[in-house]
Amino acid sequence: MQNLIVIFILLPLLGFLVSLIIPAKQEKAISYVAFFTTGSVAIWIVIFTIWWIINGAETLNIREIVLYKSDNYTFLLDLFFDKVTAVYLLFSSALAYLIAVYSRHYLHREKGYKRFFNTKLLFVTGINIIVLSGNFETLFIGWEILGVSSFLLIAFYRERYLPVRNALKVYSIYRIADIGILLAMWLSHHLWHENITFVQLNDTAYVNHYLHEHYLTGLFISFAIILAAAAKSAQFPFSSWLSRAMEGPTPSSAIFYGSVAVHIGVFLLLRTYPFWSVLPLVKWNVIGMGLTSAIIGSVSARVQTSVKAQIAYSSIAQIGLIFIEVALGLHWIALIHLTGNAFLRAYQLLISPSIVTYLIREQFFNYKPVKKSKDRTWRRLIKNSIFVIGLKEWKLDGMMYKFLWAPLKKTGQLFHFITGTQAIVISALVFLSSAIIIQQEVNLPHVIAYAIPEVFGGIALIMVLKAFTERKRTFFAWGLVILSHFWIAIAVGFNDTFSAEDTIFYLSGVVLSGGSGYYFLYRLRQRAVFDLNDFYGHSMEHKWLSFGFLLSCLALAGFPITTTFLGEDLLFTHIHEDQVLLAFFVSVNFIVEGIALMRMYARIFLGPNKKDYHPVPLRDA
Amino acid sequence: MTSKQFDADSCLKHLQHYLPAQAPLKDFVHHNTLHAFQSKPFFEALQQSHAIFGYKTALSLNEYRALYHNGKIAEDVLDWVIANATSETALTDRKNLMLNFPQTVDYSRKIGELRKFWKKGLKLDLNTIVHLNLFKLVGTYLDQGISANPFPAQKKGLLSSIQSLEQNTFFEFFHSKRVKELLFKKNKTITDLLVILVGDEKYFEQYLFDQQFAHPGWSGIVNVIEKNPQTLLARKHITFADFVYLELLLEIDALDGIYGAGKWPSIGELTTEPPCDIFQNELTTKEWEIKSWWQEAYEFSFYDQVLCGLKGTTASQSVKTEIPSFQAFFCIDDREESIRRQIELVDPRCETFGTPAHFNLPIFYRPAGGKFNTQVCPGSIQPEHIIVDDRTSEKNRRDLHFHQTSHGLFGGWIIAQTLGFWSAMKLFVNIFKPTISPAHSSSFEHMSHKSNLIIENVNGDKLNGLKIGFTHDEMCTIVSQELKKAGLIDGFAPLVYLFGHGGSSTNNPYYAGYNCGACSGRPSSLNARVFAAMVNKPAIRNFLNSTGFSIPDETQFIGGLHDTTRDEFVFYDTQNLSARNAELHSVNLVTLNKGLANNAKERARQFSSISLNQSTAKIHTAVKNRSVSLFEPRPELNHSNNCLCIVGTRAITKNLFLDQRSFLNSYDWSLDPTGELLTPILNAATPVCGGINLEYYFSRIDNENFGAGSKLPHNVVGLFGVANGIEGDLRTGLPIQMVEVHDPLRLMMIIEQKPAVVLDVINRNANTKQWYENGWVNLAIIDPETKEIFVYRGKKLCLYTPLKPGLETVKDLNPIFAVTSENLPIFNLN
Repeated sequence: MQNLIVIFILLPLLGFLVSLIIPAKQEKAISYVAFFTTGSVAIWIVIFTIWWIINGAETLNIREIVLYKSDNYTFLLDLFFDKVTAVYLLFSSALAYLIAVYSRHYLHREKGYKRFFNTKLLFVTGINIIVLSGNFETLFIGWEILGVSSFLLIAFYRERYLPVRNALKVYSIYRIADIGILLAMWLSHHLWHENITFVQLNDTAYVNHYLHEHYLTGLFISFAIILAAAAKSAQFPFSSWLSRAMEGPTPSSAIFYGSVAVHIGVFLLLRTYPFWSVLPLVKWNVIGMGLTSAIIGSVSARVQTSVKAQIAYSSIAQIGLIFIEVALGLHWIALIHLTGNAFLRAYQLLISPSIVTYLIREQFFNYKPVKKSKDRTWRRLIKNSIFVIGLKEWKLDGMMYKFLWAPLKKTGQLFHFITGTQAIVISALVFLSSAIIIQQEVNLPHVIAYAIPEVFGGIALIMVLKAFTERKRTFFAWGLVILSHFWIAIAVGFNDTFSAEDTIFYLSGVVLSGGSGYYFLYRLRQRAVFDLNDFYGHSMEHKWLSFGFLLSCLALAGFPITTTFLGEDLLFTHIHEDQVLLAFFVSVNFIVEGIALMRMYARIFLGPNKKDYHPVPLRDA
Repeated sequence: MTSKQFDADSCLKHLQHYLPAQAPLKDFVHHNTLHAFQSKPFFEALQQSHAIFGYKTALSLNEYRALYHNGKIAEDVLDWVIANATSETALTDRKNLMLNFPQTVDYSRKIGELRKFWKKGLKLDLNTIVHLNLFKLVGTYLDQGISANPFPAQKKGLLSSIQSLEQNTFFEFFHSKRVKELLFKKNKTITDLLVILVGDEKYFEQYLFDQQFAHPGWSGIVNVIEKNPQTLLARKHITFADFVYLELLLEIDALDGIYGAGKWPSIGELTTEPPCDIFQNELTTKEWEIKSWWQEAYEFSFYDQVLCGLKGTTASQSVKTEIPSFQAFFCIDDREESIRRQIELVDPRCETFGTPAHFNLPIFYRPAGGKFNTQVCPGSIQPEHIIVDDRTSEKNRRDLHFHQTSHGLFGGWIIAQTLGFWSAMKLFVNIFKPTISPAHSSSFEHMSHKSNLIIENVNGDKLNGLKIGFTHDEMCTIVSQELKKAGLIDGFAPLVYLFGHGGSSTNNPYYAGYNCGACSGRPSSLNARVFAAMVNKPAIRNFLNSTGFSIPDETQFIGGLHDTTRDEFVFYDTQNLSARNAELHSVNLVTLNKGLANNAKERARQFSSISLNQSTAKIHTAVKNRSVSLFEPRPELNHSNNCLCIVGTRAITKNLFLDQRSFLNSYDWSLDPTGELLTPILNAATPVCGGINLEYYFSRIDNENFGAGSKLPHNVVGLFGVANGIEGDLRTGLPIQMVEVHDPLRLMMIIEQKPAVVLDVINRNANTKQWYENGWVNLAIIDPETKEIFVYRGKKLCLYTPLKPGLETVKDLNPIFAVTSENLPIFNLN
């Protein structure tokens, strides 16, 4: 029976694949696939949980499907089931099913009917992988899927500018969360010298032993995890994205940002609790973060004048409280609170259009004019200040830009002098000589051997930064992203353990996706005008090129569809514990690269397609 | 231009004229989206507004061609249109141009051409920085009850309130010192700010247009609220000038914040182009000329069928002899066309009438316990009367999901862990068994059965300066005028029903648009009930019978309501029926209910999600469920496909299947030789029906700009508007779900009367005349004596002979309904 746990992942995955091949006009067929998939998952989790409870409710661990194995590296899939899994799956499956039924009618005749259900099934697959994952590697697959499906649903109305811009915004924050997981994975490898599974984390003595010896590493891993959790659950300082994500059809906002997706940070904390709770500093940090989020969330919620923003901030405040509950070890309360909050906010979002009918009726019969406040000056001062700061959402959105994106942009712009030929020629020369050095095992002076990986990592980072800020030359930007992968591979290649096979394995995915991306851009260039200075919305008239290019971008960004995905983790494994700078470069590289690629896709294929013969939405619409 | 002093007031006035005129959600009323251009001929207006704003105003050439290839535009009609067109193009070339002229690809607009220099010159997206703050600030000032903390420093006016807020806070909205000074300045003028931002005076007007039309939704709502403050229940004092001043302040503050005060160039210094005269007249291009031919061909392909059908039936007009089984008044609303036809099919002996369902009552209504007056007559009327429900209040159902408690920190903590699980149950129940909930907006709720309405004013009582009810004389005038207009002065049946109408929906911010247009977006049940009560009064009867009417004493009037979403009737005050009439009523109920079920079935064909292969009763249940389902964005299709308004006797339309596409206003030409009755009919029906029709036309053609886009991502703002997401501009117009099956045709007003009388009536009112002269509404006249048809084209009447030889006759429509959800042609019944 316990091996049947894979059904939770295979079923939605199958549903997703089937839904992809059904023609867009077959609304009924598409919705039935979603209906039966989510319905069966919901029934299956009930059966499974009952079976599990009858059998003593013991933690299950289903080990080891090896995805890739080389001399000193293995990528294992590992599944895990305990009370947290059970609760999360129970409520998320119930909601996924209810929303599938709801959306069958609600989205009738909507242009993106098929896209909606494709994305939703992909999302369910991602969530189930995360929730059932038994180690960081498995969790990371789901984590990536969640990020991409979020991007696609926020940008569901892709012919308008704001959804696309906000999708990019949210994707950027999600990317930070991804890096949290990647860094946690990287250091875990070094801490445990194996693929640590979550079940091992439950062994308190084992964990204590390691953390005692490697306090700093443990601290670093914990903060990486908390970073990931905070970003995905819109906690301080990442809170501003949640309300901006409410751009898709209401049911998608309800399941993603009202309930299942936004609570996933809580899940991550619960799952890794045995690890970080050992460290009091981390515990206090989680409590502090939860408290801060609870306060800023509820202050902001009180002054929002649009329903969805109000619900988003109320939810953030509650999740803040849940963070505190988790840190205090009140896990059953946290689980109940989480489930209740998810249901409540999902339902509030779904019925949010009714608020006009309801409150206007209330107002009509119960209206009382606001009394002139006779507050003393200081009370009024505080009241007004809270009002203004809440209305400005604590300026968190602006701060994200100022402290995260603006520095990256400025750095990228420093290198505007680079030309395509230069980049290619220099890269080719360096690659060639490096290959010879590595192959011939030439002994370099110690200092140089030590510095080379860092320097190359830095060059790779410059390339993606340049690609991220490029406004005119699309092909050049695309090429830079590909090149940067090569620079990283070579950088890590200087670390002796990274074999040629590993390099080829990693780069094969890059070559494949890079080449196909080039091809799609080339085909589009023959038919339409575009650069990276504006949004062109070509998906409207070049659907297949858009789809192909999206796949290329995802693959190149390390989405689990080519070997690049495994390669990323593989690469990190070979970065030594003391190469902090290289780890920093590589992780920032992955963040910026992902954003740069989605930015390219968004600018070329999404946003308003400006033609005289069809409606062109206003920028602010 | 430079020599003249910039006149901010007249510039703003000019600007306001072009803003969307849509009222807050609860007062949603249809109007011509391009009202600002109505003084121009239709196609000129289309071309010009397209050139100015970049909005799409007609189908594209390729879309017309697709219609032509699908047979929606008839070949012979097309030939007729181009043969009659006045054009410089040689007759022989015209068709070739229509089929092969290349359509324009490159997009351009005049608005925004100056503003883009912020981005070009400073690499700065000023909109992104300023708009969200502006929307939030104004949103929270106008908010009607979404936020828990209302704007804390309410003073009279937007700017003075912000001043008061800014004086008493640790965190300030503005950062630049000079902006703060400008905010607190005594004599504030927009010109001062424009000097800073724009510099050169010759760009001022263009800058303001660019700025305001970057967010027409918010500018529009501010403008509407300034003009009708009573449209918000919690009144807010706001002026458009304050709003513009605030936006200019925010812009200066943003630029000062980035570059420092006075350290940035004005846009006049950044631009490289001379100022653009946005409103310069456009010369008609070849493409637009061709488009106008296509549009007319498209329209006449449909009109021709109708005129052909009407010509056929007028010839066989029967003279009524026997007393009908019952008579029923419905609204002129296009949705009532089908219910009338269905009831007449069930009982051919009954007689139905169409009239604007405010029933000639210029009134406000105040329900029991209500704190406000609700206007229940057309928006153009300033009522002086009010109908009051003289009872204590009723309890409303409550739902904690909508209340503030759930958004507080501790309230939320408790509610999430308790009510949260109840939410899941509620969702489950509503998905599988939709029922009425507090989220529902029901047409029956408008006025309770138990209401105790004060109709007669004996002592001259007043409420808020409004007369409560009507005096005897006033009632006499209202009733007699109304019945005469409909052409009903004798031959009364024992029972005369008067149906108001309204719609019911759940989870629908557009609920007001589902109700009666003649009652300002409210159900017309009250009006029907009050009118019935008046005409049942013996004193009124006596008066009527002494002035040319012959109403038998046993005849009784019953007020009722038709719910157009659910297809249900309710009747009011039936306890007052005589024993014999009560019996007749129960017989009629069978007929009426059958008509309702058949009507539901007819409508269901267009929903395409209801199977028609089941019993009529089951279909009817499925139709009713749509009104209470949370997940149904199309509870009904409203005015979709409206494109006709027929003013005449029922005899000419009775045998036609008009597929809910026609407003029907009863009018007996023989009672009105001077056009005295026709005048109020046309003055009311032209703007109302024309407004509905054009709103549908524009929302359908450019759903992104004139329409509200898909309603699925909509987010309610302040209870008065909707936006996409939290950062977007307010959306005006109709969502795609309301217009997607609509064929974008202009309305044709068809009047059964002598041409000379009609022309005389139209000439009496300049506003009405403009609609026809400029072609915003088409006009056809059927001469009841000669049976000739005249069409009003190029400001004169032309004799029109339908191109179609005759209509297809269909005995039973059901087989057709079962196989297609497409828009159907006009059929002859029996």
